[in-house]
Amino acid sequence: MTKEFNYLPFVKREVINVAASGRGFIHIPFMGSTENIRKIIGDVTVYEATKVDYINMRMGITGRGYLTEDFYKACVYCNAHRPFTQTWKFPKPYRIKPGQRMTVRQTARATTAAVKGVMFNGIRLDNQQPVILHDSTDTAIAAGTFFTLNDTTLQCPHDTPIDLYSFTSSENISDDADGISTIVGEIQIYGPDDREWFEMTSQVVPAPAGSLAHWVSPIVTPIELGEGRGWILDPGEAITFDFENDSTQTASNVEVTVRGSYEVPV
Amino acid sequence: MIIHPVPRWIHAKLTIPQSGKNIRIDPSLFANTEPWPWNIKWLSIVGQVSPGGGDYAAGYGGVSRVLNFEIGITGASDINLVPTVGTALFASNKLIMTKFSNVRQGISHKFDKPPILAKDDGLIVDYQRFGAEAYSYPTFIAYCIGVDSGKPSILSGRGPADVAINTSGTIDSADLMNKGREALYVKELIIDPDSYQGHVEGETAVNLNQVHWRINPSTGVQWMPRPNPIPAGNIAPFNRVTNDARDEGPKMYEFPRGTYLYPRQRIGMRVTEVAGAAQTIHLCLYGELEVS
Repeated sequence: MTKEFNYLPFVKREVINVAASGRGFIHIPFMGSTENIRKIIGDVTVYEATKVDYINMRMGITGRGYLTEDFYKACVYCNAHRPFTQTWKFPKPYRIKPGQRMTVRQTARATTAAVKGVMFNGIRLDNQQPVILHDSTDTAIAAGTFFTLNDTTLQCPHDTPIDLYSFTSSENISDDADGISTIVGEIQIYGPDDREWFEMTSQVVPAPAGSLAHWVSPIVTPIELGEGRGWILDPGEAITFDFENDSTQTASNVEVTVRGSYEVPV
Repeated sequence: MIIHPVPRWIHAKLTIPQSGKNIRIDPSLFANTEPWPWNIKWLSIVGQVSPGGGDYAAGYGGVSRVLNFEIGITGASDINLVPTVGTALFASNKLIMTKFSNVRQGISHKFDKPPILAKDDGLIVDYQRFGAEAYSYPTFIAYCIGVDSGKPSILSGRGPADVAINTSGTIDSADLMNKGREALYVKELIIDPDSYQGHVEGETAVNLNQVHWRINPSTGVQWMPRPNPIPAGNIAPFNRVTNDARDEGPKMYEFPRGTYLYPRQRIGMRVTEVAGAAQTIHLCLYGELEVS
């Protein structure tokens, strides 16, 4: 009998300060890394606030070493083809069952009050028809206000499980502008088990993006990795990044956001 | 019979005469000279570099909007097309948001069917700078996956700090060779078209037509067999910036799915400049050779 899996989405963010002419190293371990589950690394975003190109990088997997000997400009790795709306497509569909409900908590960071909404795109398992789970605020939300979306419209239909493929938020449209002028809210997504998808253990406060912002629609183009390029980490493996600061004068906060799916047996 | 897909880019630089005159492109330019069928995917077009100004089309890799094209396969009239202007025929049909213009992002080409690099094989990557924009550290990255292990691998390399105008070089990097453990599928190529200074927010990277590249495996059937390197925008035309309002990026005509050039077949083409001055364009035919 083949084993069945569900794919729990996750987002992990780490920030490191790389001194002028210095080196920095980020090691991202995973929940359950000692357990028998694998991690699909969907994509990685490397952001540096001043946007200049003096941060060099190489990537690796613990136990396997770095994939290249040399360092290359972090931004040259970027290869994702992005949608124009703020959407995150999960590496693998996340299945929820009848009665289970999603919860989204956000801040409205727009300059003017507006109605806010979110949407999960899915497919019904019984008839393969598309379905959306959605919710929005009833009234305009003032800038900076936290709000929670948790209506029954974010609940799985009673008659079939559904596979969720992506998440979309109306909060902002990132136009690849810089992190300061792109207006974005902070977003937290909670699964039916109240597990938050965003996991952050950084000791350095990311700026200016904000700790929970810019992960559904990153400021810069992500580095698409995914299953097709072999980026499935076995139990115990972690993804590692090695940075090199070309600048002799400026230290940099480098923010790394990893999005992916845990492969959990069900 | 096992068929190995091998990517094949064929590039030609052409000067189109001024308004009202046309040229019939030498059919030997876009011929299948190999003994295997060539599944052709697209024909890309990039304008000639015009350092020192001019309109955006010249400076940013575009071509005149009033260039007429007729395209067909020799000996088979079924896909011959009605003459049409380049903007209608060469549509960038993938609205994608990539390439944040204020940093130096690569442009990518993703293979439909990934070619295989043997254990002892590697990539040879040449670059040449034609434009006036400063160009430093030309970088190449290929995302790969192990044929047996399914584990990720990267082949990559970086050129010198300053590439002088009209000079060329070969990227010298141990990272461009397969590590020797197993054969690799090459899933995607990334070439770095531009230096930081060359970007203007919201516009296509200027070096899409100013920096030319040639990427080949170190053994076997070559991917880019002609001696001249190919403009970056021709190699990977499916890259647009968010706010490419001037619509000057590289464009491509996608052939109907399943279009083949069989051995000795050629692409025939006539190009007419309808209203403008003479201009130089770069055309590049891309497809997969089905090597068996």
